[in-house]
Order: sequence, then C-alpha cells, then structure tokens
Amino acid sequence: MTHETYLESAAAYALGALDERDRGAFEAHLAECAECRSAVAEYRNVAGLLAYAVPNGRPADGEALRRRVIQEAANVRPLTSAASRRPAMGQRRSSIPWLAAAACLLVAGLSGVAWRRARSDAELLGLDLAAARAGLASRDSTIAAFFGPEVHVVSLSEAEQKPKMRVYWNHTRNLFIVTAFNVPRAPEGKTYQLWAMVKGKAPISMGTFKTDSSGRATALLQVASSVIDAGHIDDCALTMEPEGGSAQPTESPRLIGSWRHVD
Amino acid sequence: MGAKHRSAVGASDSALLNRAMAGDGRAAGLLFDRYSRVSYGLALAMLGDETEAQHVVSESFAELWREAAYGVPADAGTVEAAISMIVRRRALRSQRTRRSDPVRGELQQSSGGPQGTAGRFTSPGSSRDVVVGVLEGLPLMQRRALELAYFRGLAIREIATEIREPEQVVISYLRSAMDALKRASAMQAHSHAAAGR
Repeated sequence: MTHETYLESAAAYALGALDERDRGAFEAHLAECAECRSAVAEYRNVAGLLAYAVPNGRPADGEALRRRVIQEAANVRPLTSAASRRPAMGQRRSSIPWLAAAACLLVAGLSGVAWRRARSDAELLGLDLAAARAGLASRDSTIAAFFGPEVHVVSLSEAEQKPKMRVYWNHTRNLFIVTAFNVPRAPEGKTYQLWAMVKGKAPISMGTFKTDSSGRATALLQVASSVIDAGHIDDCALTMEPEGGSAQPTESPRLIGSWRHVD
Repeated sequence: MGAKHRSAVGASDSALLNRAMAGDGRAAGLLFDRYSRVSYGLALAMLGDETEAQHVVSESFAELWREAAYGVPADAGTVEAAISMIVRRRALRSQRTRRSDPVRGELQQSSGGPQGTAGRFTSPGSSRDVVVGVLEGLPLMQRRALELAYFRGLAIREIATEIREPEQVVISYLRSAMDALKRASAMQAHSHAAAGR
C-alpha cells in the first residue's frame, strides 16, 4: 500500500472502522509517518464532534450522577505533583511521564560529575531531589499499573521451559506492562514485537520493545484500539521483527503464553 | 458570584482538568456540566436505555479522570473529543455485550429504542447545529456509511455489505464525510475567534 492509500484510510482508522489486518498494517505505517499521525489526530477530534449528531439529553438522576462523578475525580490520586504533572488533554505532550522521568534520571546520572564541580551544594541538592522525585514518579506509575480491578497477566515461555517474560494488561488504564528477564538483546536493526492472538484471526500487534545486554526489560505499551476491539484475547506471542515492527509476524513465535486474570 | 468562580466558569477544558486533578471538585463539576448532556445523549442514542446510558456516562468520566491522573495518552487530542470517544467506545462495548446476550438484548430493545424518553433540548448556534448541518448536506450514502461506522461501530467490510458498495468506496465515503465535518468545524472555530476579537 502507498502512503496515499494509508492517508485515504486515516478517517476510517480514526473511527475504528478498519478490520484487524488493515488496522495492523495502518498502525505499522503510522509509527513512521508524521503526516498520517497528524491526519488521524485531526480526524479523532472531528469524530468527537459526532456526539452532537444526536440530541443532548438530561439524565433523570442527574444530580446524583454529578455527585458520583465529582467524587470519582477526588478519588483519583495523580502520580506526580501538580506542578510537574503532564500537560492535560488538549495540550501538546512530548512524551509520557515515566519516559520523561527515566530520561531525567539518565541525564542527571551522566552529567552528575561535571555539574558537581560547577554548581553549589544547594543546586546539587535541588537536582538530586528532582531526580529522586522523578524516579519515584516513574516507579509509582509503573507499580500502579500492576494493580486494579481489571488486570490480566500472561507468562511467556518456550515449550516446557520456565517463563522468560510476563506481560500485565491493565484494562482500566489501557496499558501493557512488559517485564522480560531472560530475553537476549535483539541485534542491530531488529526489535521484539508482542502479538495478541485470537483463535481463527490474524495476530494483532501489541507493540515493540527492546531488552538490554542482560536480557532484561521493563516497558509500558499503550493498548491499541485494535486489541480492545478484538474482545477476548486467547494468547500472547513474541517474535523478533525489523526495527519499527511488522504488520504481521515474519517468524514463528519465540515465546508464547495464555492470558489469565490476576486474583 | 466571585471573580474566582467566574474565571473557573470561563476556563479552558484543559485548565479545568488540571484543576480537577489537583483536587478541585468545582472544576470537575464544571467539566461534567459542559459534557454530561452530550455524553448522555450519545449513550442514550446508542443504547436506548436510560439506566445503562447513565452508567456509561459515569464510567466514562471516571475513565477520563484516570487517564488524566495517570498520564496515559488519550485517544483524542481535546477533552471534548476524549470524553465523547470514551462514551462511544463504552456504549459500543455494551452494544456488543447485548448482542452476545439474546435475552438481555431483547429486553433492552423493547425498552424504548434509541431515542429514549429523557428530557431533550438543543442549544441554537452550538456544535450540534454545525454537525447536523453537515450531516444533512452529505450525500445519502456518505452519511449512512458514517453513521454505521460511528454509532454502530461497524467495520468497512460490514458497512460495504450494508450499503452495497465496494470497500474502497466506503473508505472514500468516510474520508469525504469527515473532511466535510473538519472544514465546518474549522469555519465555526474561525467565526468564534472573529466574534471574540
């Protein structure tokens, strides 16, 4: 398919109308095409307006509903302080908070020696505190994703072997938390890709990640609408794919496992 | 009404969301007031059941708060688009659950149909005027394709079967219809900006 063909499909994608196979291919293209990402973002905002196509309504029990919704907002505990919280929806974001936090820690660590000579103790303390807060926010965000009323987990292994990976699926937050502990680092130009497997249907991409030199990884992946719309997912599989991922697996699964609920 | 309250009433959606996440219940209430009626209207139109529609609205706002608090990237760029897309997604899920439960589906279908009986109103000059105007101006098949995709969550192949057109034509219909909405929405935003100058 050409770029123009994908662009033509952007509205259908934003409406969630592409079928699984086309959606997988579209999302693989989307990862590399800024123009299509921009088109999808615009169409999603337009799709939001379609709610106005039907008459507004007033719930019969509106006041009780209002109180309940406000109470829900009070019950949600933000993961970072108000000052450092991510921009709200409707504002541009460069990355999600845990990534920013991880980057902050990395930068603080790498440049620490040079900075210590040039900055006052007070400034250093401030930097350390900011880095520690960022680290806590990052861990808090990851840990929080393991819990909740709707979490499933899958252990991935080779046949008859001990698990090498676990993937947690937090349905409330629409997140996959990927933990790998013995998966060799992918060679240059390659990446690992996870697949949601539904019996009788084509695999659906869950996203890509890389492991470090010790074979470990912890990654958060946003659950794509294609996975949510598929309904019941039977299994999860891991393949190695070209950088950026593939629309469909190009090899047999290296690891595979079945989803189960976390009690 | 104090100055602080007036500024909250006129605040942007994203500012209200930030304040709601900082524990400001009034900001959460204002966001609810802005979008509860359109959310409830959408849920009711898709489900035809008032109790179920209220539940969807309640759960959708809860999901919006969680997404905002946890920093999970939203499906849509604006708060307005985000809440309506969450409501639509949850209502479609309820529709599918209903289809897989024939007894429950039959009960729901006999309880009033998609228009329901709740008090309805429209606000002249609103986004609704723009959207309804665009939809009414669309060629019939484009409009049908868009409605099947949005309100019933049908895939291209299913829409093609329903309206008896090739799949590629359906994709083009959806793009043309959404482009028409995009243009009208941009013109409305331009008019509002000009009026505010």
